Amino acid sequence: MAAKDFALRATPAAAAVIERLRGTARKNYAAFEAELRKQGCRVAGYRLLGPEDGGYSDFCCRRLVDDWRAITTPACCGKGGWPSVGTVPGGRRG
Amino acid sequence: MSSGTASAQLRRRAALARLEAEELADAVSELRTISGSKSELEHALERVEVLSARVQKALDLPGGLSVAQAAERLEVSEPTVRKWLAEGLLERVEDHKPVEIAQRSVIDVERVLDTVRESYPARRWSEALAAFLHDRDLLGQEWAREGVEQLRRGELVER
Repeated sequence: MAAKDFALRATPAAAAVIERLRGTARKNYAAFEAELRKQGCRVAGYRLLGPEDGGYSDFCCRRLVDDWRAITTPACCGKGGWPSVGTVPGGRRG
Repeated sequence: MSSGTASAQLRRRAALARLEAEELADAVSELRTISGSKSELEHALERVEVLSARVQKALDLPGGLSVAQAAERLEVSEPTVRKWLAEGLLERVEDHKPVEIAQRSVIDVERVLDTVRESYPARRWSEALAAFLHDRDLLGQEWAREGVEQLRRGELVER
């Protein structure tokens, strides 16, 4: 029996951006979403550090293309999860 | 002691005082997040906030910290401070020579240094600090903040 896909939820803001994605960004996001449904958070990218003390935050980040990033929570494939999609000025070092 | 030397020392002391005032403002902000606070606590907090604002206004001088001051505060060497300045981890006050460092950037780095020191060897501190600052900027983007707010309100749609 095939494993059941993970459920995926988005914030309305992220959903609106996702609909407007074009070209490689749209293609890569679609692939990312498909990976999330199959494998859950193991493909969510790198764990973001928290803004307070530099410890791990509740969020992960996956680069889509150029400055486009998708942010997810560790619970992105469960209740309360979300992806947020947007662009950043520059790439992460290190 | 020449008047120039006295003036420089005064500026150094004022720069340090401004650093302390900014930390006081941060401490007050954190107290605000305590749940179940009483009216007395609220009143006390308001007073501290007013005092903090006055201190910051009184010390609103253009000077930053010297490299030596920043190094002492962060418990690193002066070359490390200069390295972090060159890498953009610390912010320099523009048009000030010799180099002066913005107090806010020292506080930002100081806040994460404890975690960085616990989690990484010294040779990776710069890398870890850069990652932290990048991530902080990323989560501070308007689209990310909007997403977090919607998440907290439970506004989610099925994909």
